[in-house]
Amino acid sequence: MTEQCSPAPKSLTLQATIPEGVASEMDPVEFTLRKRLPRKLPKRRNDVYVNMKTDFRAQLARCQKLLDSGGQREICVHGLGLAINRAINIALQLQACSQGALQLAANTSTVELVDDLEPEDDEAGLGGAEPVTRTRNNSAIHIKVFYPDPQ
Amino acid sequence: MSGAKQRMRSKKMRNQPSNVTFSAAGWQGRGEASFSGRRSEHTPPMRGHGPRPSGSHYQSGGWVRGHYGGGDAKGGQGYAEGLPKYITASTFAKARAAEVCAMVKAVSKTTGSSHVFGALPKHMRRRAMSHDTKRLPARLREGAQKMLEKSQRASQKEKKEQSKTKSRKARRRHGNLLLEFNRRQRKNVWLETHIWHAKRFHMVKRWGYCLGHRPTYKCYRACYRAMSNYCLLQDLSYYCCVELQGPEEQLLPALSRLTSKETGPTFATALCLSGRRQGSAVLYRADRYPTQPLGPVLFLWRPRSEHSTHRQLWIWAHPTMKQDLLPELQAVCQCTVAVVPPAPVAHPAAEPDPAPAPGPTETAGKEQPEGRKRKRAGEESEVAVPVKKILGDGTRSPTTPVSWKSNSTEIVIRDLTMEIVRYRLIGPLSHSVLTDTLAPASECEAASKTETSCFWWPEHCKEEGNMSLHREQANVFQLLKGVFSTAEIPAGSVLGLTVDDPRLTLPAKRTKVGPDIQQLQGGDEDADRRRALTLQGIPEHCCQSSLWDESVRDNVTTNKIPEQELNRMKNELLVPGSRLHPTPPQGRVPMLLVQQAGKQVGSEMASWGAGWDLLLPKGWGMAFWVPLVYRGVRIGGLQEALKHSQNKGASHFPHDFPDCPAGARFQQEQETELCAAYKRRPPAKRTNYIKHGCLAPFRCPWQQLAEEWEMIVREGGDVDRPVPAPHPHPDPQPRSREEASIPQPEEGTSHSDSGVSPQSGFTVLRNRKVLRRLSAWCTPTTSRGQRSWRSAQSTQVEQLSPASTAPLCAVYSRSLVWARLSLLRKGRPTLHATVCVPTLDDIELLRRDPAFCGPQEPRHMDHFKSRLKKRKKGQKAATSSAKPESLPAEPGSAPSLTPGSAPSLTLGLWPDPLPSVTSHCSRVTLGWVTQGDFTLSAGCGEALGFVSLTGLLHMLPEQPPDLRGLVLLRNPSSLQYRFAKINIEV
Repeated sequence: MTEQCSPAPKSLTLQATIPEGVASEMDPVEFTLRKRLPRKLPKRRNDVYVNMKTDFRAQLARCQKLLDSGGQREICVHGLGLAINRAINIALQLQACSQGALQLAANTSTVELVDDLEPEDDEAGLGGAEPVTRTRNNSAIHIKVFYPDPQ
Repeated sequence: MSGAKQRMRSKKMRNQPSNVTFSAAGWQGRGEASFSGRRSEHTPPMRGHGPRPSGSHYQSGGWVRGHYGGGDAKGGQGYAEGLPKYITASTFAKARAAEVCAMVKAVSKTTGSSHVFGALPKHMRRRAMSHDTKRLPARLREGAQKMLEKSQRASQKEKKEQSKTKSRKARRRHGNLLLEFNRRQRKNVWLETHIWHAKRFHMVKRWGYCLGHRPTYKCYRACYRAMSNYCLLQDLSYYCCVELQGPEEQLLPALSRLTSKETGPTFATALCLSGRRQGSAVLYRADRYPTQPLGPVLFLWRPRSEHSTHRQLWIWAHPTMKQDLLPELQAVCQCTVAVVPPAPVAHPAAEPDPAPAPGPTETAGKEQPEGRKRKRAGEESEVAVPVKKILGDGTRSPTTPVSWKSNSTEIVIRDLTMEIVRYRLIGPLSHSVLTDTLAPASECEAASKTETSCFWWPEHCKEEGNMSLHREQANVFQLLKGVFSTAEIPAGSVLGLTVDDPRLTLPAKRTKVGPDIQQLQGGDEDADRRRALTLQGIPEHCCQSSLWDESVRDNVTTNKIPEQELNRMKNELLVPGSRLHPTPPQGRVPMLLVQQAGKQVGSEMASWGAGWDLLLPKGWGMAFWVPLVYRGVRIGGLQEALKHSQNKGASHFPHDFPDCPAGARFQQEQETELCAAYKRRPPAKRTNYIKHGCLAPFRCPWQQLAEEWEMIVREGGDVDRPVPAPHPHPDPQPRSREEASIPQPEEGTSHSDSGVSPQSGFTVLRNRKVLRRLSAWCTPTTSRGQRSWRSAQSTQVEQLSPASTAPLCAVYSRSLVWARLSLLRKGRPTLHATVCVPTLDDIELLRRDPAFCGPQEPRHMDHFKSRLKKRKKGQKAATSSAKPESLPAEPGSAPSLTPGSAPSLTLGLWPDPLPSVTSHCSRVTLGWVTQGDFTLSAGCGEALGFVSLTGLLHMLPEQPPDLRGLVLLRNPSSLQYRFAKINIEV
């Protein structure tokens, strides 16, 4: 659960050619796409990174435990990409279960992700292609779930 | 008197001399017998009840202790009355004499089992007495001495005697110790960290090295945690490095004969060729691409230098592979002329110590404060022991050529085995450990730039170009501090660096390091540079390192400051514990840092187990090892390396390369090892693998499997699908029936393939395009976690159909596919577990009940047991002296037996010509597992193994599309099948 939820790296073949006969002028090189993990930051005890692999109830229970018996006045629920929805759900569930004792404060941000495109045929000087590294952005949400200070 | 009491009495009386007897018949006859010699005499007062008067009505036996119920008063009376009025002295003494005689005899005689010091009471015995008679009481010494001599003569300990002649002090003296160490590593070379490891690890002798297998302390899980959270360190110096030098245009065509583009990147990959990345490739024999693989190698090109077209290439290979690789390289490069090593290289062992660190050591000798020590030093030099700790491969005969050159080309091959130390750091924080441990070399003072020095660094400093490069490299290295995870750096990046002696910055205590938070936040400028680093990687010119120069390597190795000297220098510091300043001029080490990619295949746990490799000149191993250990890293051995690759889903050499000669050799060794371990158990306590339906529990007959599947498919696909009866061998001669139903391949090949012949008929499929297609076919087409891209992809890929699989089957008919199997529910797969095809019923059951564990294999009959018994009986009758252990002959030593002769039998193992492996059990065999365990990263049992390609393609179309890629796994010692999901990862 420590890793942020990102669409985990997968290798897939992007075929630049459509059918062979039609576009012979197109680049015939195939690439393998590898996604690197998102940049990590040091994790405090009250940081919860939500992913899509772990069971929802387990993640909810973990947050609940942190708030109830973990001695935390506030926790941060982070979700990236597909997991934003789930992070919001967890935060709302926590609030609903607390009978109004908890408050939420949401922040959004953008995370830069790195992809590596590795050409299948990358021999130098033989019409091979250079490997490409490109970045893309993904949205993230950081929800602070906290007990408001008694005024 | 009850029976129990009688028994007890007889036990007590067992050792009594026969002339003293106690009557058990009671005491009522006392009156008459009282004066009649022996019988009357025993009136043991300690018995608690005195003799009773004659006619006493007490009938109980004389051995009953305690009081008689209600008879207390009378008993007291009895004592007084029972005393005789007078005794006859002669009879009384005579009777006592016999008793005393018996007693003396019993005391003086040692009982049968005891040693000489058996005469001693137990509390006075000491273990050390058995070999040191002086610890015995003087009266027993003589006998003990005799016994000791006798036993020594029996065991012929002259050899040990001889070594004992030297005192321990003499043996432990430095020179003698080194001699002893060099003798002990004649057969199996030690790594530089050997002594460190030997104190903490279970050592194994493997591949000509002494290697740590696993730590002696319990740390299985801790090592896993270190790999996934912090850092695990491993000494990989046993990997062999082969250096190729020559013009690029000659090297590349030669090397391209060894590789194929279909298997992935080759030597000519642009990034690797520039020297910016380390590459890896599977090598084949020259121009024998699909059939004769050699094994995987790592390779690293030296970055191009401006003024020459000469390139340098390091190929790192596993030691078992070297003997295959070197001749192949020599052949493709046409390097047949062995270069006789020049004199200094030729006799590294015989040469006297080439004055390590000329300046300081001599001064050290003069500065020795105590006269005694100096004297001893003088003695040593008088003796002039020509001993030097052999660095590198000291076991190699000095005249063995280590380099070969070519007559026709300019290529030179050099064997750099043990010349370069390689450490591997695994884990997301390994870069933090590195940045904490290493400090970029401090530059020389301006003053020293004018004078010449025998060390390499001052010379190196003289060129401004070198210095600016060094500063750039140091900057890149400092940037690493701001990186949170090792996986953020592009895989395979190379960084050349020169560092200060890490012993200078050794922390006082072992501590853990974390990423530098300040650096993590960093300024904008830092962030930009870090971003460039993660995106573009390390710039090309920073990959250059002086480690590539042999002269620099030698200089650094010979001029290393000894540990003792360094400690003395530290001792003389004014402020204890402060850093040594200035850095001694010989304390700069060139090195290379190579990033190792983590898990790259599959979708889960991406980049798990990424790390850095350290390449160091030889001799500096311990100087870097201890500082690394002081940063709180875990240390792993071979077992951890295996677990690392298992968690990564990568194949481990040589375990998972059965088609390579080294892999075949390994399989054979493993079989003999496992078989020996099996036979060490008593026959009744062994698993009967025949009853479990496991034909080959200690090896995998890949050849037979591939051939059988080829036959099955050729015979007509699913019509001839061999689903045999639950008991496939109801009679002891099932062979004929089976051969009729399933075409049996020629039986002799099944075990010869695991042998030395590299021309085995099966190959492992490594063509990435085909594997990718298979991978898509193995995934269920409609399942919950399905992503859209996958379906989009599958539209590109041909749909799974007999039409699309047929050409593959035809081309790769005898291929195996590397697959990862993850269990759906329970179960922990072990080595050599069987991968089977589930029947449609099994899948139906699973669909109906997701908690369905899996079918069971019906118990097989062991027909060989009765045969074994019969044979044993016959043998016993013939030669009663024949030992039963000699009956089961080694299957390895007795290869193929003609079916007519009685095969060698071991209880519980199939005798050698195996029946059909595919159809032996109720489910058709698809392959075997080569690594299997409970995986901590996935939280379920996972196995890595090979399946037959033909079998897989035969199985897949018949499975329902939503549950495609399901197989059954069964351990050799179990009857339970478990469902597993097959993943082919590219």
